[in-house]
Amino acid sequence: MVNKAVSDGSLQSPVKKKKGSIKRKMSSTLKHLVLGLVGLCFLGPFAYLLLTSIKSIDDIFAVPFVWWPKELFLENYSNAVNAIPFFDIP
Amino acid sequence: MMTEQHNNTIGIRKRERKLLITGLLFTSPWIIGFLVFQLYPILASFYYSMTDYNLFSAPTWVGLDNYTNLFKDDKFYLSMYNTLYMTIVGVVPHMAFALIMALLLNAKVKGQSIYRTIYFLPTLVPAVAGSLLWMWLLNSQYGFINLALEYVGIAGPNWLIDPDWTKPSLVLMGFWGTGTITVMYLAALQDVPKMYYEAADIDGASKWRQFWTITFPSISPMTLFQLIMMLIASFQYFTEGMVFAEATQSTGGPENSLLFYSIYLYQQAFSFLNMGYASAMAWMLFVVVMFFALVIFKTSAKWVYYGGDK
Repeated sequence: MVNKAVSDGSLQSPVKKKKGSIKRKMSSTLKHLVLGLVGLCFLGPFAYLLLTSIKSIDDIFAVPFVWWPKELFLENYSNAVNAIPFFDIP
Repeated sequence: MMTEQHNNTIGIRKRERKLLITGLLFTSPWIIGFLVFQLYPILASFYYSMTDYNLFSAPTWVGLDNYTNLFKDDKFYLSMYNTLYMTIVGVVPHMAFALIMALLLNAKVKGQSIYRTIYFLPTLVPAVAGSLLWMWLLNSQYGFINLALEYVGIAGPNWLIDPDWTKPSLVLMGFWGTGTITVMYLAALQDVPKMYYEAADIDGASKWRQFWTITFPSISPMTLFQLIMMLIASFQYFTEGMVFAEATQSTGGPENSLLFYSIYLYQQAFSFLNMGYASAMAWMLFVVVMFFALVIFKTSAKWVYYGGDK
């Protein structure tokens, strides 16, 4: 689990190496599964952030969860920029 | 240079003094900054901790009253409990999680750099923005987490309102920000000499055994460093608790379940203007953190291994 390079070592017999490759493939798939799942959990909040940023208030509070808004509500962005005098150089 | 020193020691002394002055001048921005903005406030807070001070009238000397009152204050114990909860329930699982992720990433996994980026990404989000985002995710009615739990048939708790669940919410959110630890553990893991594993493989040691006899001791200096840093950070836990308490429009959250030590200190200092009491609290915190840090350092001789030693 810790180090794959070890099993490539020339000191091992070829028989053992063959047996290891199937096992290695399985553990590699499992590893990607875990890494990917955690990765999804880590990216989830960002996706939620992005999706919510283009939703209207009604869509945000919609009780059956709305994944993709029926209408893009891009005013959120203009509101955010205009809320403070963002482009006004004093 | 040597002959010059013999011939003209006074000249060298002059030169040395000049070098010293130049050096001091170059370091003076830091020295002055340290004296004025760090050492003075630290010493001043120690003085204020012995006084009754409300910022507007001159401080009056009360001796150790602030400290004795501290031990009679229920909220002091409550805030200490809340903070210790975050330390005990938060730090170790976060570190273990980060280590597992680093171990998975350390083996030559395809797309390692992509995964590493993904795990590191949340740590770039500012604490307040991240907390607000998670308050949305944890919202019991509209939040995504409870919706997902409902989908699999679990009635999610009222994360932000139920006093029993507010701190676990923060711990849960904390996992999202463990990317820094993962990356640092990954660096430590890549420094472990490969020949140890080769030798262990030949001897037929299992992967589990290899982890505890090779990997864990080899990365123990990193564990010590992370443990100390996270301990200090968790004792100073403030921002996330402050933001989460906003869900109930209060300072300490529901039933003061989010009244962390730093938040209570802030409240005493800037809401009640008890500067003396707050200073005493700050010094108590310093003593407690120092105690835990010392305990960890003392025991570290038993479990931290430095490659160069022995």
